[in-house]
Amino acid sequence: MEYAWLAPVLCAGAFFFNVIISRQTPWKHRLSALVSIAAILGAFGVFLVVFSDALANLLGTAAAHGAAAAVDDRSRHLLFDDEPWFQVGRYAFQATLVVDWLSVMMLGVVSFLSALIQVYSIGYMRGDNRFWWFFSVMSLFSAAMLGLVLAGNFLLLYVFWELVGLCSFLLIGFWYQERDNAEAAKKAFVTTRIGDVGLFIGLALLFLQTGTFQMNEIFDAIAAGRIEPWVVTTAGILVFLGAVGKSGQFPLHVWLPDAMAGPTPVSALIHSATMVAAGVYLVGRAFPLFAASDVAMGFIATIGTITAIFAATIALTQRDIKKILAYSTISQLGYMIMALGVGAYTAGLFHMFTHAFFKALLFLCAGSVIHSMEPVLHGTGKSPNDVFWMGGLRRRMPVTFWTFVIASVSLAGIFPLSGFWSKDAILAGALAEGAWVPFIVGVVTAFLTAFYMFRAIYLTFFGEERWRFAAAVPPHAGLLVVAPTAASVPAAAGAMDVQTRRPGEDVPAHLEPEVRPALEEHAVPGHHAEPHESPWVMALPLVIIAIPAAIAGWIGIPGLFDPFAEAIRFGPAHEEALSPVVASVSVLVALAGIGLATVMYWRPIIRPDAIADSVPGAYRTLYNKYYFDEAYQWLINRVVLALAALAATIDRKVINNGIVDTPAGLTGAAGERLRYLETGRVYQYAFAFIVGIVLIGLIIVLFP
Amino acid sequence: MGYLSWIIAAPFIAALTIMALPRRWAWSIRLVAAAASGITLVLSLFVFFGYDWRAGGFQFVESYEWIPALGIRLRLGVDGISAPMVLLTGIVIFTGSLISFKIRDRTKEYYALLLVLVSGVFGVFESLDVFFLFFAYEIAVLPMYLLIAVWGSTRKEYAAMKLTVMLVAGSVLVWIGILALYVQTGASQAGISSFDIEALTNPRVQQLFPRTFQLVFFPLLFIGFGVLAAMWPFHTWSPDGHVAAPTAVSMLHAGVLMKLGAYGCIRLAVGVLPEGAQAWAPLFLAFGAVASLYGAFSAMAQRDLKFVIGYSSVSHMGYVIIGICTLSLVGLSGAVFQMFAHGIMTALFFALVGAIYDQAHTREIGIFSGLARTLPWFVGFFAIAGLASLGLPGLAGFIAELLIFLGTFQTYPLVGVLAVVAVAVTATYILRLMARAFFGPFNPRWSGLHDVLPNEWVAAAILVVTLIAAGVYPAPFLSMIDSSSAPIIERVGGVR
Repeated sequence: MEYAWLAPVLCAGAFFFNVIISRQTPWKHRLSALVSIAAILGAFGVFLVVFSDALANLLGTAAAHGAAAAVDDRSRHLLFDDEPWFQVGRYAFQATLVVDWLSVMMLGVVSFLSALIQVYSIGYMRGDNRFWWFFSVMSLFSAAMLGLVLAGNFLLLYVFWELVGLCSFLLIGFWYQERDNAEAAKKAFVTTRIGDVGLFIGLALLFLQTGTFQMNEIFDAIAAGRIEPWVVTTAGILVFLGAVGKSGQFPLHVWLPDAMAGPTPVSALIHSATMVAAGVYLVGRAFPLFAASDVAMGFIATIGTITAIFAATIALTQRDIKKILAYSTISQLGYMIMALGVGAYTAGLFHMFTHAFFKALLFLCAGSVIHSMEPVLHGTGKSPNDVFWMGGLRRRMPVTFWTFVIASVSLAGIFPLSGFWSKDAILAGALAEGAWVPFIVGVVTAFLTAFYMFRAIYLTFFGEERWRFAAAVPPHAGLLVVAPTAASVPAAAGAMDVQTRRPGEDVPAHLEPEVRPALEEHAVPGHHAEPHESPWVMALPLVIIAIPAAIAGWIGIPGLFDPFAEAIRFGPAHEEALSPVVASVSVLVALAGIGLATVMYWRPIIRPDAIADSVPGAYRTLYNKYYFDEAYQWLINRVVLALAALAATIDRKVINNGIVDTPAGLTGAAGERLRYLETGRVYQYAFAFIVGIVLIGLIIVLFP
Repeated sequence: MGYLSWIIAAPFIAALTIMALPRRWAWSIRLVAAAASGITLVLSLFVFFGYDWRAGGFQFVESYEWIPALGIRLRLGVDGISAPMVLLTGIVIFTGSLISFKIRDRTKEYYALLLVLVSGVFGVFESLDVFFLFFAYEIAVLPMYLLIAVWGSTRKEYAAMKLTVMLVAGSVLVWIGILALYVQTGASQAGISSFDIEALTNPRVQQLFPRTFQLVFFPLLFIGFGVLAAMWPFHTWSPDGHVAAPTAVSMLHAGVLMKLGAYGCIRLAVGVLPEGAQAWAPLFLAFGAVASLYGAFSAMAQRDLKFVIGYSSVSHMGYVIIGICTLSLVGLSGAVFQMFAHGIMTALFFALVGAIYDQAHTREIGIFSGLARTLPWFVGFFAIAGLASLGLPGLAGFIAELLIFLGTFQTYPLVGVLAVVAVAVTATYILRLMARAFFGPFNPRWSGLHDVLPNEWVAAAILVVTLIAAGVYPAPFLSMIDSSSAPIIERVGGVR
């Protein structure tokens, strides 16, 4: 357990090795992938060692003290290692390593998923000319996240927090030649940075009160009431703003869907174990701070609740498979935040744990689909991410299909898969805390979640093979409400106005050929490749992750087998049995959602376009994500850039030309005039001399 | 002669040697300059690592008679504040000499002036005598006029003249303040006028500066030095000057010269006139706060790479002013560390901009696009400088800003909030710049550009390694800075 620090250090070492050494070698791509994967596997090994130590400790404690032991949260630190970092005056800044069950859990999730995602990337990124850089940054990303979960000092946490943000920036903008990708990367970094302003100020407030960034000392001070309540509340809300940015909570969620610009394995990692998980983790880690303030908790619960339903409604209408998943992530993160906000600590973190597996799996499946659609749709101007141009893939990509279904069913929360247990825990927790609004919103969101996931499944894997006639429809076909069919294609191709809602919109971004040279091989004119299952190096990780995606939730079965709640809890453990009412309600609404998707997208009894046509405004609002991007763009153009222009103009016109150049000009002009006094004529000098003497004489006489 | 006098003498001797060399031997001239600045760097490393922060105070002290009749001695020494500055100057002049290899026009005069300038800079940081400090200060400032006006670009005569006039105006204020100190010490019973910095901070001598005296002369010293530190609203020489100056001069200028001003503010204004500091600090703190936000917003609106960095320097030096004016130990230590960090990062910035400007003959951000594809090293180095500038943890700027902000929160929490917001603005303009110029589709117009040359690579690598080392392990810097900030804060009675 003392070697937990090795996990981030191994990955960071891999980054530096790749950047300094691997890239100089002729086989830089292979070497860097090898080094990175070896490092992350090493980190997973570290996790296994730490985990077995922790398990021994848990069993030992349980045996020695009985179930009532370890009520005090801090005594549950399995390891607390405190190293001085630097010191200024009387303030010491420490590099503190903490291992408790929360960090053990995160250590496992991060290293497991990161390892499999990197293996998958070998296939996905094949042929990219910056393959080595991809793996290097993936290593740094893992290192930062592993460091984050082990940090026991807020300043240290903040350091890794920012590094996680940097790595997402680098990976989202990995294909930077595409202007949109560079913009998306920038947006991710700047948006999360806005949340970080809050986080930083919040931490500074706590520092002012306690003189330290050490988490345990700050929590002690809060518990002992040494910090004034308003400070705790303010600091709590400010620190939470950091999580709002990082975990894509309303209203700073806008960067997360755009972050799909990165390669799909990156999306998988960002949306499961790193980056967005960091925000939820922070709320869990700093829970004693939030729990001490009802206002802060209420704020957290409100933001989480809004986010959960808000993002789920957007996901209903999206066409890009990755965007559907992205809004799903935002919604699910809202679920977790909501749970933490109502005080269901264990449930919120449990959902983060189960969600990591099935969401990573969903993204990797989506990547597999996109990977096989790219050559098919290449040259048609259609995005390979667009579910409307997929269809019928289940027979062509059976592994992807089945793993996608497992993950979706789990996400939808159908008994007995993983997601059911964590979702149920959240709903039961909300109900137990008497939080009715979150409970109802949770149930509605469960319905929406099941609906949009099965909409995606039907559009992608069932129905007609619509990619066959993608070439027949002009690229700027506009907004389709319903997926095209063989019957509708001539209409769509001919009479655009029938199907088109807003022409010129939603231009699919296809990948630049230079970035993906592999595409060129398939793009034989007149002949398009057909979708096929991905190579084993991609399919195998899908199968492996499918196992925890399905069953990871089984370690949190209330009343039966619930080691999760025993290990990760806030305050004393309380035994709760499964509530049959809550469980059946949540499963029933999920089934209803699946049913509705079925009758709309598989057996079209209800026509989706009829619904869209009956409420065009609502449909357009959802499709355009409530116009948040537009509003922020307006804010940036009209306020931020205007301020910038104003400052720059003031600087040039007022301060420089006015205050600085004017006196300079006056001096110059004065010199210009005064030089005419130097005439060189003696009689003029003599005259001035005499006038001077007379004046002085007069002054002496008049003012004695 | 000890380390310190050799640090001053080496560039000066090199300048004389270069003047004696024939004009045709351009490479000998470059090598002499590089060797001399390399020796200086090594010596400054010795001084930095040789400084014993546990003992504190002035070390490596040397003392020579100069003008005994006036009580002027040539006393040299460094404390925990000046030792990092000496190291900074050593690093910047060495890297600056390396990247100046491409200067072909009047190489001899260029290097001679550059080296004389650096001697002056070292003189200011090492001097324990106010008279010599001022003398060296002028030596550091005046060659700048010629360096910009002769080797510069973009309205160079205007910029050179404005810079010189403003800085000389500042030094007039400083000179008045210094003479006042000198005369006032002479007014005592003992009747010994003194230019000695250690003596001026001696408690018995301190009693000679009554409150009114301090109130009158503190702003003269602070504004006088503040002009050189580009303190808002006396900053306008700085963006123009940076833009007009040739690359190595921009590096020295933004990297080191602006720090002379801040150093003077700390050493003479706050250090010697504590009561004046207490009274005036809030006003100058407000100037600093305005500068940090205003500089950041102005930078966002710029289209010329060098102007972005120029305004960014105004913003970052605003943090230094804030840190000093918090009169808190954490803030002041942060300010000194920020002087070091900003010096390194901005030298890196200007070195890189110079590398691209010499080939492209333009610095318009808008017409570059996708440079990352053909210039990976250039973009990588530039990104590190940018990330340091926006305060990314792991790089030196983060620790500096952290401490300044903590100090500000201790004393003026609202200003602290503004300063943190300014960092978010910084992130925005730095990333906008990078997204615009380095990412996006590659513009074939720039396919002729080559990546950084070997000499530039070495210079950039030294600066990057320094940024990372100081950011990851700031303890040696901070212990040192701390040991010498503490007495100043004690005299001022600030927050410890």
